[in-house]
Amino acid sequence: MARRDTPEINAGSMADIAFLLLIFFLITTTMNLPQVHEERLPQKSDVEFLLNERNVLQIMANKNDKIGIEGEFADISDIQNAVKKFYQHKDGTPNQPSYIEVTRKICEDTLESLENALNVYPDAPLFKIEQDAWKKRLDACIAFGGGFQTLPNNATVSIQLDNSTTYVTYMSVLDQIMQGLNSLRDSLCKDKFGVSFEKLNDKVEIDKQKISAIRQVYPKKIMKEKNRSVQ
Amino acid sequence: MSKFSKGKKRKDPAISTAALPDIVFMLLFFFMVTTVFKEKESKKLEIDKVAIKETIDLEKNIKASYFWIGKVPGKVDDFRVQLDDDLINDYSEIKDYLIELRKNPEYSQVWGSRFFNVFKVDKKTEMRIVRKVHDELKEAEAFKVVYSVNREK
Repeated sequence: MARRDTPEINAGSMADIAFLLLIFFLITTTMNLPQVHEERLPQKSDVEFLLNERNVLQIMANKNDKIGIEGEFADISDIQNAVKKFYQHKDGTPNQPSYIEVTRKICEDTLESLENALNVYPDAPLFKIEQDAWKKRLDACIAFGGGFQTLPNNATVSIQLDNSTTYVTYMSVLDQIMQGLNSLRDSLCKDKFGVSFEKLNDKVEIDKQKISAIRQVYPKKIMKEKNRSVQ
Repeated sequence: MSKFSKGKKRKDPAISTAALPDIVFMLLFFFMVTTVFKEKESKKLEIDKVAIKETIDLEKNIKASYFWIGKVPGKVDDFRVQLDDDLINDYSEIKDYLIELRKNPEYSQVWGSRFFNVFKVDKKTEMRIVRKVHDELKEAEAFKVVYSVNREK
């Protein structure tokens, strides 16, 4: 009785397995982009607002890299809390900025009167900045489905550095400010939209609106004062 | 002649190598996709980067000029600025360089939006040096600055 040869193993499906693996890795691999902190230098055309003492949170670093908040020596980790308090406090707290109320109606009314003002003075830069700000606030009101409170335009965190302050101190100060700000943004985001701020993806249109709305409530406002010697 | 002769020996079937190219291509694609090009590094300066918690991803497909500020190896406290490939001797070179760069239409189109000045600065650098570079950037109307940092876990 003749014995049969074992049939050759069919390798046709090997390619399918290979592609399956390829596609799996394609989807699950995330690329690690370089990490940065972004900053915009002041332009000559920037309008200088008249600053009110209580509308400024002053952070200083001297030549020995010691930190001061509102004129008092402080630890670098105190910045975070100072920033949180600056952005979120009970309205009317002394030495803290008072809020402006933003509702849909206020936005529409303000935009209308700015429109009229711009017809009379077409080149007024302040009006244009205001118009831009109020348009974004109106979008935020729509996204939240209601009004909110935010800091006035001329409220800002100010950083004063000595020429001999080291770069690492400057970066840590910025980091602390952003940590404070982002934790406020995060809790607002969870409250309003039920997701954490970090999870929002700025490439998705609906998330982009949410990010922009959150930023209207807690805007990043950092001003750098230069060439001042600080003790 | 034995009764249990083995008879004709069976031939082993040849293993098909038809799938080999697939495997090779799979590996190739995998590495192509996962590879991130190493950030440009300075060869002339020693730079110890800062690590902070709140960072953002650097956008893709940007036009950029690169600034390194760090110590010259082997010397004490000799901080210098490197612009693209060369150490600069005078800060005004920065402005001239940027103005020259802007004449290139590839750069001028994105100057206000997607042109970045990427800074890689040593921890111990004094702010006066960073400021001088900033002043030059303002002169050349290049306002977007990003500081390259490590992410602290």
